[in-house]
Amino acid sequence: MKEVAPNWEAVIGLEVHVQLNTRSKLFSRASNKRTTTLPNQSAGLVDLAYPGTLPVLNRSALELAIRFGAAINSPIARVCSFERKNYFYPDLPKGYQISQNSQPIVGAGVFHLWLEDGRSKAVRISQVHLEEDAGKSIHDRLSNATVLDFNRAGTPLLEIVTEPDLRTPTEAVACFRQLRALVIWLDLCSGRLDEGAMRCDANVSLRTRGSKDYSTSVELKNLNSYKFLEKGLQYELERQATLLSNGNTVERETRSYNPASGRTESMRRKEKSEEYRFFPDPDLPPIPISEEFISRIRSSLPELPASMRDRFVEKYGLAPDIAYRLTLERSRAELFEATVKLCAAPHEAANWILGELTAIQKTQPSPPRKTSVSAKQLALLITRVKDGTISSNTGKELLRTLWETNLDIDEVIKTEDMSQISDSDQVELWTKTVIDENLELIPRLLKGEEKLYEFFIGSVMKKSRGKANPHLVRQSLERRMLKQCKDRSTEDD
Amino acid sequence: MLLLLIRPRPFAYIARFVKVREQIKLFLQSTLNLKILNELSSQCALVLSPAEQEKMVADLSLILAFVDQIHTVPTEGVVPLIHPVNVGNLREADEPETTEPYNIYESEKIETVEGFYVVPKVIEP
Amino acid sequence: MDSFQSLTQLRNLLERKQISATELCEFYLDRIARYDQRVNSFVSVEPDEVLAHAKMADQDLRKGNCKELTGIPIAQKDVFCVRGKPTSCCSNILRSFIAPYDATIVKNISQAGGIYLGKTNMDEFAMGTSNQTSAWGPVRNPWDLDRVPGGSSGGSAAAVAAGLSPVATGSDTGGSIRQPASFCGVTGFKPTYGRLSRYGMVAFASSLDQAGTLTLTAQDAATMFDVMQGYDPQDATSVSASNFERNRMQHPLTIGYSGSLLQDLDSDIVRCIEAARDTLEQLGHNFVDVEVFDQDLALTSYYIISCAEASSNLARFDGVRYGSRANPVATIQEMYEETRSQGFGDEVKRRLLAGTYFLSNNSGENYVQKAQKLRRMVHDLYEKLFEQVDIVLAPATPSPAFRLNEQHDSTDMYRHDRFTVPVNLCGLPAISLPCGQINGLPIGVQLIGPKYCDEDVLNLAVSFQSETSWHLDHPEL
Repeated sequence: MKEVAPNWEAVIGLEVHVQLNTRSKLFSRASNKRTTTLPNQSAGLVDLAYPGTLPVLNRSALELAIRFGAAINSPIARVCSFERKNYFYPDLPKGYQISQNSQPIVGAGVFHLWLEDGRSKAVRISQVHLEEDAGKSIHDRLSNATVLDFNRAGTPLLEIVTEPDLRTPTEAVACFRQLRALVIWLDLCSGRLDEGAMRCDANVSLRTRGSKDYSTSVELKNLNSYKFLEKGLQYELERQATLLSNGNTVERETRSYNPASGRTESMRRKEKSEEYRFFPDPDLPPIPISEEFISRIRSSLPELPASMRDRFVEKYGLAPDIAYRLTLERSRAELFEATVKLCAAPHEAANWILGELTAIQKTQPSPPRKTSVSAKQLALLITRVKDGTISSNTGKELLRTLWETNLDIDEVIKTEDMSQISDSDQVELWTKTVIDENLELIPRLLKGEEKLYEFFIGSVMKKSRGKANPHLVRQSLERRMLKQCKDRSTEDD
Repeated sequence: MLLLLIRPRPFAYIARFVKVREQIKLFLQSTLNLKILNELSSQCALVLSPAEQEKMVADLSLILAFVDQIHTVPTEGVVPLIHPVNVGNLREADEPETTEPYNIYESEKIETVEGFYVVPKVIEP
Repeated sequence: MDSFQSLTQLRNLLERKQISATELCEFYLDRIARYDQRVNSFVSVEPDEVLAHAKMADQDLRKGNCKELTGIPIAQKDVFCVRGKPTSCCSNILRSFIAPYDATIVKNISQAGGIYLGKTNMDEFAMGTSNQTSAWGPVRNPWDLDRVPGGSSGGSAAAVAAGLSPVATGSDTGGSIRQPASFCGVTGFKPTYGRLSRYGMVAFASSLDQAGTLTLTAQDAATMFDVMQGYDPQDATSVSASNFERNRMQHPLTIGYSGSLLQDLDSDIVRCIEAARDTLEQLGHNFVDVEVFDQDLALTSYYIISCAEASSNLARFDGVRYGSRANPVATIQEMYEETRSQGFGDEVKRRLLAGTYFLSNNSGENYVQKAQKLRRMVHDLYEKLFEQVDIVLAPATPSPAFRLNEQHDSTDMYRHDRFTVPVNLCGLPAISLPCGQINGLPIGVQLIGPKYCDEDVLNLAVSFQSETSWHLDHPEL
């Protein structure tokens, strides 16, 4: 990102909403899985705020919230209580949102951000609270009316609020990305940004470099993808820099990022220092949270990515950025460890997982039918490449086959005739044939044309249908080149 | 001895001061005017006719005069009582249940299009 | 048949096959048709359906398949959702609303064999003490049709008093069962907060609302309580059985009595309350004089909290998903404002505005926080009181029924609740029992018990009624 202005620096805090993947909703027994696309079909009486209905807290949602708090090592409240945030909006069925204002379930903590340059940055989390999601207002379906779908209403949300500790849009994106990785890691959320399972708003300001001012003037909404977050913040910071350098002030307001125009726009909806009239929800008496309940959740936590990252560096000698990339996804990290256990080749395993496997993953339809190959398969594949049974190219091909099926590797190598041909006579024969077929190119080859060398190697490989041991091919070609050289010099003499 | 008698007792002073402050607060709080009423109406999503407004200002002022006596009670250190039961219940089973169909009786009366509820256009940026 | 048979008597008649459920229902339907034009206690009755259910009940009775309430018609206050039935809370904003589900207590009653008789009139959203704020017009007191029946459960109290239903449900937020019971000369029971589910009872003030009954006798109240009570997983404030497992009170009881409470009451009322006290003394119970919390302060606390909660609870009535919607409207703002301004009556609007004001943050502690502290003080005082006494005896109302359209300013009306409100602030069980008449109008006395001692309160009430006959006096229509 280009420098906004040399004497200014950005002050950015994030508010990340995470939809918890419970089976039923936060306060109602309606399904939390969107099995239908029909509007208003997964909204129950409670979600639609029918007269007389009452909320009852879903234990799973509470557990997931505590799970997150335990993962970032924050204090957990000893009672879970809820407040009402009162305002009218058509997609807010009760005329209030049940949320936690003064007593968040998770208190202040620190989230350690890993930056690309290998530095780690502590981002303070001010609080994490549970609240219910609203329905959806759809404005563009009918020309003269807004339509409402309450399927989303009542979905449990974890709102993670950071202190304005982020200094660049890049850091903000890294924070959102790593928070997403963490909630997926903890199995709290699908992480599907395209479905709105995670949403991001930012508080953003510029301050004189080195100043200790942490106040933010603009709340920026609709930053629900990495790209929007980055572009929105970049635009907003430039806008603020222009204002400030022209001697203007930045107005306190809520703005929204418009991806179509690439600009941030003032929200027309008046915020009028919103009077939410928070008060404790009388329908929901506090629920005590015992130390035992918390420690049970704490002890069920998986090893966390940061700790795993450090361990991978230390135990397997991986470069920190490799370890970081491996630990972005729990399935990936677990596959790595299991594979290494079986084949004792950490660097190869990391390369295969981050290289070919990730490449295959990217071409998969979303959501993928299958997430990965098994550690057993991958370890065997690595072993077979290492012991020369197959070439690494064949290995790549094999990996794609394994993705689709669940076959035994050695079986596939045999039936598909994939094993590498290391029979030097056979390789010699292929090399000789290629040279004979391309005699006119030999002088240029001998003059050292790199491209031609690759062409000859490639041609031999092609002849072998990819199975010749490339090492042998190189040896054989170089031997024959030497021979040709000798032959030609004798002819010249 | 005499000196001691005429010396103002500090506690009485404080008590009197607190009382005066309490009264000022009381006075400020019980002032309900049209401007406040209009803010309240807007927060309640209500519109009142001029006649209703006039009556409501009078009624609410009376109510406030009545409830403002609450401020005369010292409540330092008292823990607010919010719920008559101390502990709430959790829903133990995170199992979705098909709830009663909600729109069996309402579908004809409330405007819907293709299953969506319909309201006048909400102007968004 | 006698028009004023108690639930216990009716069950006997049904079990002995001296009357059929059909005959019983026809009897009440006939009385409703005959008298309710004058009383206006019902807002909806569907005779065909009542009789269809009665027929099924008769089959059960023939088979000897008798449950607690098989064949008994029961009126529901219009605040309870009954599946497929209009549930309006006597407000225009829900004028056409049909509930898609049964409230838990409605379900409990029908599972015990009770027959849904119809919906009774009430103050709009249960806000009122005279049943004059109903969108369906005022209810009249069967003892004197120019007088109010009390409120908000005025329809239920009047229906039972007039012999139009043997039992009716009610809801009590600040006295809405006990006050009309006192005005109409019937037995009104408000159980401990949490013992009867609130699920399906349209909320007025969630931390104060409690369902209960209006009956002819305390024994009937006990029978109904047995059927209606129980833990409900759909209500987070519902109390499970383990909370109220305790020893029953032992005879003789120590009963608290506050002379200072009676200071500003008419001598006629004091005479009735003292008579009730004498009766209990004759039963062998001991009285001790106790001090109670400043009534006006408790009332203020109640008023602030109930309005604040109501202002939030009633925000859901916005015309978007159900109920009435103003038409035509151009903007969403207009839709909200017109729908709510046309839908709510004056008393409701007054309380919504006041509640919103109380919740506003006028820097520092707002009214609600202060009121909740006072609520704690009232609560602690009663806790202490119940360390010394088993039961507290108190008036139910400061006067008998007043005239319809009698001019009261709103705070005067609110002061009328001063004997009933502390019970709701503390979530206590209390019963109002007829204890005398003043110029031909009934008046009630309250027995208040500690939390979860509902059965003890009911037992004492039953023994009180075994020695008195006020509950056996009925108005002539």
